[in-house]
Amino acid sequence: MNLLKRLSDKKQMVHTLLLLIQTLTPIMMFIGIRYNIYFIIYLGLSLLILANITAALIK
Amino acid sequence: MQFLLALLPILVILTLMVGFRWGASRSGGVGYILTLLVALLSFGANLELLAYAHMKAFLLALDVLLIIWAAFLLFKVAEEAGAIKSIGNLLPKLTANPTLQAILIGWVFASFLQGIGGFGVPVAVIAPILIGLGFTPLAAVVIPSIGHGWAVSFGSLGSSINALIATTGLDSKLIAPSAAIFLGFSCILTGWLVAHAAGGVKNVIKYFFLILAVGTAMALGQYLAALLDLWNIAAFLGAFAGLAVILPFALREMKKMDHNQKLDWSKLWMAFSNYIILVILILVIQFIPGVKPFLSQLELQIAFPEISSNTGYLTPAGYGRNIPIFTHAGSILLYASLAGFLIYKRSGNYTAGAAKRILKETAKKMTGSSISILSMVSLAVIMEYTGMTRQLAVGLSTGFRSLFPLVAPWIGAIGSFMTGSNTNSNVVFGLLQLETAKILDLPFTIILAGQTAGAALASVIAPTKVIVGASTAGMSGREGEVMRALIGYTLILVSLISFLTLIGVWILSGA
Repeated sequence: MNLLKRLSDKKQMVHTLLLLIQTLTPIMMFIGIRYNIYFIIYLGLSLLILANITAALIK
Repeated sequence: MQFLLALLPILVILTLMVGFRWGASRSGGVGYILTLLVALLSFGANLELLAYAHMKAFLLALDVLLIIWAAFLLFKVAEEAGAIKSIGNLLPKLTANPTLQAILIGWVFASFLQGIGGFGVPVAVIAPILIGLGFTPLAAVVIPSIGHGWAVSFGSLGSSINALIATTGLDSKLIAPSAAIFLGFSCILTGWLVAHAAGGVKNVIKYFFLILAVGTAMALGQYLAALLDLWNIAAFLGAFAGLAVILPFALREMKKMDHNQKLDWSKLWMAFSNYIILVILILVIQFIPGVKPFLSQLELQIAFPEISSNTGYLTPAGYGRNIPIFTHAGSILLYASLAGFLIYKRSGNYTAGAAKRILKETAKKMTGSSISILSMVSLAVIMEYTGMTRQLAVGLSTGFRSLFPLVAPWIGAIGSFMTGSNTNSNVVFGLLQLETAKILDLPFTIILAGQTAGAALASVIAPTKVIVGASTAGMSGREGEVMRALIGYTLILVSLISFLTLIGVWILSGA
C-alpha cells in the first residue's frame, strides 16, 4: 500500500515509464519471435503484464 | 459459454468506466489482463500468437497516437499564442448563439475536418475551440463527438469504405451508395442530437428546419459523390455543401447584431491560422496530383505470417497497419503546428520559453491517454487473433437469424467500439457479415451498409476515441463521464441504422 501511494504521488513519472515499456515490449516480442529468441518474448510479455497491472492500480 | 467468456473483457471495461468511473488507463489495464487470461485459458493463445498480436496492436496504436500527440501540439501552439482565447472572444460576434455555434462548429465544421482528416482529429481540434467559446468541457467533447460520427465511413478520404471494399472484394458501386443513404439519414438525426446536446429539446424544435436543410445538403452531397464513384471525397463534399448552406445564415444573423459588435476578420483569420494551414496542407497533399505519391514513398509496413491459435483459429498472413511517414495525418498536423508556431512567433504572440512550455504540456497531457490506447488496442487485437471477436459476432447472428438485419449494425458497432476504428471494424467483420448474409440469403449490400454505418456511429464512443476527446478537453481520468453522456445518443443513432437495415432488407427481398 505504501508503495502504491508512492507510485500514485509520482504518477507522471510512472506513466512515462509505463508508456516506454508498452512501446518497447511489442518490438522486443516481435524481434524475439522473428529470431526465435524466446527469452526476449517471455521478458517482454512479463514486463507488459507488470506495466498493465501497475496502470490498473495507480489512481 | 465461449460467447460469455469473449464478452467478459468488454463488460468489465464498460462496468469499470461507466459504473465505477475509473479512468481509461486503469480500466484498460484490467481489460488487458482479463483478455490475456481468457485468451490463454479458453481460446488457445500461444506465445507466437501473442508476440505477433502485440506488434500488430502497436502499429494500430501508433497510427492513433501520432494523431493525438500532434493534434494536441497543434492546440497548444494556438493556445500559447492566445489564439484559442481570441477565437472564443471573436466567434460569438459571428454568432453569439451557442446552439448555432454548436451546429456550425460542432457538427458541420467537425464533419468537414473528418472528411479531410481522420481519426480523432475533429474532436481533438474542436473541443478546445468550444471550451474557448464558453461550453463546458463535457459539452465540448460530446458535441463534436456526436457531430462527426456520420462522416466517419467516408471520412479520412474514404479509408473505412476502402477497407470494406478491400476485405470483401466487392465493387465500390455495390457498397458506397447504400452506405451513403444510411449515413445520410443519420446525418440529419445527428444535427438534431447536436442541438439537443447544446440546449435540450427546445433547441431541437427551434432549429428543426435549419438542421433539416443543412443535414439534407450534407446527406445529398455525400450520396451524390458516392453514386458518382467519388466515395473517397464523399464526406468532404457533403460537409462542404453543409458549410455552403449554413454560412449565409450565420452571416445574416451577424448583420442583425449591434454595429459595435462587428467582427474583426483579420484577427479571426490570424487566430485560425493554425487550422487554415491544416486544411490547406491536407487539400494540397490529397488533391494535387503527384504530391501524395511522392511523399508516401517512405512508409512503415510490416508483414505478418499466418497465425494459428491452439484451438485452430487461423488469422491469414498480411500486412499490419501501414504508416506513411510524411503523409500520415499526424505528420500533417505536425507540419501545421510548426507553421503555426512560426507565424505566431513572427507576429509576436509568444513570451519567452513558449516552445518549452508547449512541448512539456503536450507530453504531460498525452502520456496517460497513450497508455490507455496501447492497452485497449492490444486487448482488441488479442481478441481478434484468438477468435474471441468472431465468437461474439457468430453468437449474435446465430441467436437472431431472421432478425440478423437488426443485429448487423450492432456487430459493426462492437468492432469499432473495441478497436476505436470504423476501418478496423470493417476489416474484422466485413467478410463475416458478407458470408452471414449469403448464408441467410439476405441482400449483402444492405448488410454491409449496416456494418459500416453502425461501426461509424459507434466509433465515437469507443474508449480510444473518448480518451482522445477527453484528453484535449482537460478531462483525462473522466472518460467514464464522457461515455455516459454519449451512450444515449449513440444508441439512438445505431438503432436508426438497425431500423434502416431491416427496412432495406424488406424492400430488396420483396417482402
